Amino acid sequence: MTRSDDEGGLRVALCEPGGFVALYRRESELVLTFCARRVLDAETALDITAETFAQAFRGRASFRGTTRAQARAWLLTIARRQIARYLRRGALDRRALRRLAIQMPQLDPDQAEEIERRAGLQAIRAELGEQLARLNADQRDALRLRVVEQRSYAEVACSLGITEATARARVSRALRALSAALEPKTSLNAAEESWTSP
Amino acid sequence: MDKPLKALQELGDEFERVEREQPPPRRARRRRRRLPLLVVPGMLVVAAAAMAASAILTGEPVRNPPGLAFRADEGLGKPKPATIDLLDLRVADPDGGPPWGMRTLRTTRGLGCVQVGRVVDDKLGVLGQDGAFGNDGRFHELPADVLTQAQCQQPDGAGHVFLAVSYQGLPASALAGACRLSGVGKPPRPSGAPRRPAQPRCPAADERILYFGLLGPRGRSVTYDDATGREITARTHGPDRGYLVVLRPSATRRPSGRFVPSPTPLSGLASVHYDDAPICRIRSPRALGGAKPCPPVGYVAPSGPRVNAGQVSTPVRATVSRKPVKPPWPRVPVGVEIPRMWKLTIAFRARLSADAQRLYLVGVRPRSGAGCRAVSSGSVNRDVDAGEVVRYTTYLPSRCRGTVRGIVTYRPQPDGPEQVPAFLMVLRGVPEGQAVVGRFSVDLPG
Repeated sequence: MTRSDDEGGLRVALCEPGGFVALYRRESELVLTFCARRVLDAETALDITAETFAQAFRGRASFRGTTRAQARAWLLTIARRQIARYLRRGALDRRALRRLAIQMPQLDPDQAEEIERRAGLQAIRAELGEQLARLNADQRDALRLRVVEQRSYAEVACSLGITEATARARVSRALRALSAALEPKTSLNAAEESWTSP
Repeated sequence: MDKPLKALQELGDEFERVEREQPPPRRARRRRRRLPLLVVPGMLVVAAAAMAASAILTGEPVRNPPGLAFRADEGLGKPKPATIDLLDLRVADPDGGPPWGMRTLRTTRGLGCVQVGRVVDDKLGVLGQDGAFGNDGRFHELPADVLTQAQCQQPDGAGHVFLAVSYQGLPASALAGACRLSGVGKPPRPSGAPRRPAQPRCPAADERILYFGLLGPRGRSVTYDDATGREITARTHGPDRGYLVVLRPSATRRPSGRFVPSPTPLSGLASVHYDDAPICRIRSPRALGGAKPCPPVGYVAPSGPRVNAGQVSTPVRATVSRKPVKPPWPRVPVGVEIPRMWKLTIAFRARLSADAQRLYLVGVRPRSGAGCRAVSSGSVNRDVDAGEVVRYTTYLPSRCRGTVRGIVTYRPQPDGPEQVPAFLMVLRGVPEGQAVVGRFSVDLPG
């Protein structure tokens, strides 16, 4: 990122009154879209967005950036970490929300649908199905056993009659192929995500 | 341009409130603290002096089993350091050596716990013998966060804990599981399963029978019969009136490995004495009518507002895996094959918060004639915030077919002293005091 990206050199005074809320109003929908495209579920995305902003609020004193782009990159880094944690553990982190005693809003089905529409989840799901169909049968079977049926690599290897190393390689290649194919759909536009650390 | 999302607007209002209520933060400054060089040799001298005084060498502390981590908002929670209290209760071991002791603590989820062990230099721990720590003969401190070595219970409305444990066979080391008790057979090994390293037998002279717990604020003493049949009285200690009895096994007290926790004493002791209450005589489990627990004298029922369905009801969604899957249950012994099962996931957005006292309970039952009689019930064993999406996963045998029905209820406070977690059957009508969150049904594939 360069100085020309910093939208006039605006300083993000997060520690001043109203500074954080202004950041929230400006970036929350982008963060929500970012999360929704990765977890493919509106409710979960809203929860992760809320926790992301709660963590950002608690850590705002340590933010050293000076521009809007840097603040956005900072938020997306927190969100990425939350998503990775959620995907790894299958549970949401809510510590910061709890510490701030933030009441989560109710998400009715219409709003959930609207979030999915804005994030373009239907297209991503369709693309995912298409890309799965394009994988070769060996990789697809390995991926199904490991991800859908949640079997261990040893069991995947046993079921397919291959070594554990080969099972790992097939799952890894399948995930990489899916990731490469879906990346343009799941990411926000390049300008929004590009950053250098503050 | 799309208009702003209502949920994000509302969340933004919450951040606005929080920002208004909290003072602006100070800029973080990085500082490194260093111990003055002179302090370090001084600390070494003090440690050496302490070691010499205790006459028993100290080894590495006890640790939780690998892969097991306690979380502040889940299960038992994490110990709160300020609440850890080693009671002034010391009980001699029948073979001598460091005395036995007990400490109490509270967890981040508000549970009250007790831990027992051997005491050296006012520290609770275990001894390196009976297979523990390679029989190194050292003292190993028991950190409070090793909650696998703790018994926990929900406090009553006045904050007191009622808990009684009967431990039929703990090695004198005070560490369970490092050796096999004489009253416990070899675990079966399924054909084809890998051979496990043989567990050493506990020396017969090192087997102990323990009765310990907290009687609540009015518990004065307990009595028990020693090996000669003489009745011994042990008085209680601490605000929750802790007691601890350590005995050798006998003809009537076999080291069977049975571990029985209950809210109040149930067996093993002779009687329990309270302030301003009748003596509770413990009946033999073999007596007509069986054993009966002592009443929880001094127990104050937790109070809280009643909750009705209107306050908690919300749509409950249930989904089932397309195929039976292997449950990812941790710590399954080597060689034990877990069958594939239907994975049932229940999700709802909680309208009220929940914790270790106020619980969301889930009951699941396949329809009659569905090929199985499995019922499953349990609690959402973690803190839940109002507005949070709760996901609860359970597993049903793969032979189940057809429709599965279930119910989610909310229990605003415990009905009495009970074990953690609270497994309540909520399938045959909703117990009084609980409110229905929602019902669900889902068809199993095939």
